[in-house]
Amino acid sequence: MYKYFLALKYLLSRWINLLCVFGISVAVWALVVFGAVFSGFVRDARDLTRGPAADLSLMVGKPSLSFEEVDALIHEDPAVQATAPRLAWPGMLHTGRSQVATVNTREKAAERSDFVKILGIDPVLEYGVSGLAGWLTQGMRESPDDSEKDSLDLEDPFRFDEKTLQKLFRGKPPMALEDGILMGSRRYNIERMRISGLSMGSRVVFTSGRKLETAEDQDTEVAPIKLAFRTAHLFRTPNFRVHERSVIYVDIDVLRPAFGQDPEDEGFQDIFNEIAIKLKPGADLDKVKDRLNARVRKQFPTTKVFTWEERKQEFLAAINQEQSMIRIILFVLMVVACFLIFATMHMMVTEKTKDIGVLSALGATQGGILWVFMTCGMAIGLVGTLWGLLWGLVWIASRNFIDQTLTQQFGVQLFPYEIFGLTEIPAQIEPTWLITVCLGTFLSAVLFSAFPALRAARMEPVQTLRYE
Amino acid sequence: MTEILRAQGIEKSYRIGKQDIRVLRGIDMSVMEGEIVALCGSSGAGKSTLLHVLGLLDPPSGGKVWYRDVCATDISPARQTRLRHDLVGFVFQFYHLIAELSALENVMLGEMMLRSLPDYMRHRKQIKARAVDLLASIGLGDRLKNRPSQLSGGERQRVAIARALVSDPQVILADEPTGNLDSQTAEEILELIWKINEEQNIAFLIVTHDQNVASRTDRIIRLKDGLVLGHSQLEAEEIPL
Repeated sequence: MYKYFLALKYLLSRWINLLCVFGISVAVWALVVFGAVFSGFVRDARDLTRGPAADLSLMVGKPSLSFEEVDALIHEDPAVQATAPRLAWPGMLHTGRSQVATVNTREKAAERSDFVKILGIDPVLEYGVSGLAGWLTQGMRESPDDSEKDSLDLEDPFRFDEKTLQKLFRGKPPMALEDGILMGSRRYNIERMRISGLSMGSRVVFTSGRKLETAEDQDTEVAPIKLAFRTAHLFRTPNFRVHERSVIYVDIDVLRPAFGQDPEDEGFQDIFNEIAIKLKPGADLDKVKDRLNARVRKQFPTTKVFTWEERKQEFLAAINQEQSMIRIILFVLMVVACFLIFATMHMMVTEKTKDIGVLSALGATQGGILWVFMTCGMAIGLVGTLWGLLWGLVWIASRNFIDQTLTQQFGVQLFPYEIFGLTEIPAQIEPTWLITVCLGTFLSAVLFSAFPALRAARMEPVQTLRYE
Repeated sequence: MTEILRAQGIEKSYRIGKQDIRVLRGIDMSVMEGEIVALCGSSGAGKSTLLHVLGLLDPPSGGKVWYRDVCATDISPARQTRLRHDLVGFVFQFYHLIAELSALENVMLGEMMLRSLPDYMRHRKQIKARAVDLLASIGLGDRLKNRPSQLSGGERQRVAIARALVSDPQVILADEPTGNLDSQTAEEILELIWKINEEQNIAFLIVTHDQNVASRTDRIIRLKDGLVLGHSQLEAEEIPL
């Protein structure tokens, strides 16, 4: 009984114990809060990174194969739900009249870059593998909450309907109207269009080049690609900022002639350089990928199927690495806090040396004396852990309010979530992480208080009574 | 009278560097029931060391300590601890009260020692009542909640005596109990010791330099260089200090 009683008295009479509890709770708070925020960030970053990427992508180095032939092989796999051909090509998009900024040193250069990826798609097939249909509907609205929609022919979003033509060209549409393109609303917002002279229905030019096949001993030749379009529709993704900023959708049949294939010509081949594959729910990505690789590559060796994670491997590995680093740094903080327990308990044992002799004289055993100081350390660890956990959870729950308050009052932003295309500070509470943190902290506190407690228990009563 | 405490050929030596220092060289002595014995000797004679050996706080290098018919030096440390709690009380020159506890809690601590939490909770009222009675009987009934730092030297020593009494010991080993007190307070403490001895028949073994203290005791044991010079009831002027 005396062990707990005395431990309680020792704990309550020394303010430094409170400091120690504070140290532990700060460490636990940091582990809980940063752990949850980083887990949330990793989760959201994964979602954002995946974004419009299909479950699997069959890639081909050069657009030379027929989609129909390869697609037939892919659909032999029972786990495949939908496929869509894509013809992706990098280039620059400009108005034709405006000066093209090839090297842009202005502020937010990345935002204003003219470089884009043009993505030739079959819209109906594309809707089966990505959320493009929904993004186009969102793009029609003035605001995300606006439920009023303009007429949009989803089967052919690249064409202008009569109503739009009347609206855009005030009843006098040009005789030769270029094909339409779909642009991300975030990059090409109305303000941006106004400044650069663009508006809905304006003419834009995509400029690029394509390497021609030449003999080995000849210099490489590049065929220029120059395609004119008109802005037909905007698309608005939930949060795929990079995708909205850098990808322009066009009709794949409009893009194919740039690679020597014209649907009007005899011998036309429905070329592509990517097939987006959507799998049925619950399908194992890696297993299906292996099956498809075995099946398709046998017949078309230049193709290869990747999972979306493999395509984003570099970024995912980087954020996982960052998460590990953060955790290591926070655990170092925990060890420092535990050293605080060690120092406090060591000091307590030194200060209470005489008490140890008195307790022995009164009939305390070595184990009893050990337990007095162990109880102190464990109580500090337990209270610090629970306090830190509680505060951590409160912080996580009110993280956005705290961030807004700090930003408004002091101009300090805790987490620049906009940079990552997020709408708020992300957080994900992982029970296993919380258990690891709490149990790890408590056990560390026990371990670090055990050394001073053992020292106390091993003291000779006579020496402690003589101690000055 | 029954013998409560007996020491047979107690030896104690310390090793300092490569040298063995023999502090006690075969001490034979005993304390009878209800007896007050003074342990006198010059500084370094081994008085405190002998007291600690007798109180089982320090194991002897040789010899045996008996409490009634139990050879305390032959039993396990756990049983020694139990025996110390049940039969022996300690009073120190510098009181050694626990600073974080009130006077009442310091006294109750002795009763908490061998009790589990449920057992203590069951008997808490009785334990507290006994501690209050003890403190009241030595004139500290109004200082129960005071911490040691709020008490005078004499009051602290009274609390220490009450703490020693709480487990109903048969012998109290007192290491210069008045050594840190002014003469008037020392006199009050001595009166208290004699009163306890008379009322409760508890034996006292008092280490002292004070000839006034020694002269009042039933018997004096003189130590010199780790040896007992003699057992006697000496006149005050004969006591070697």
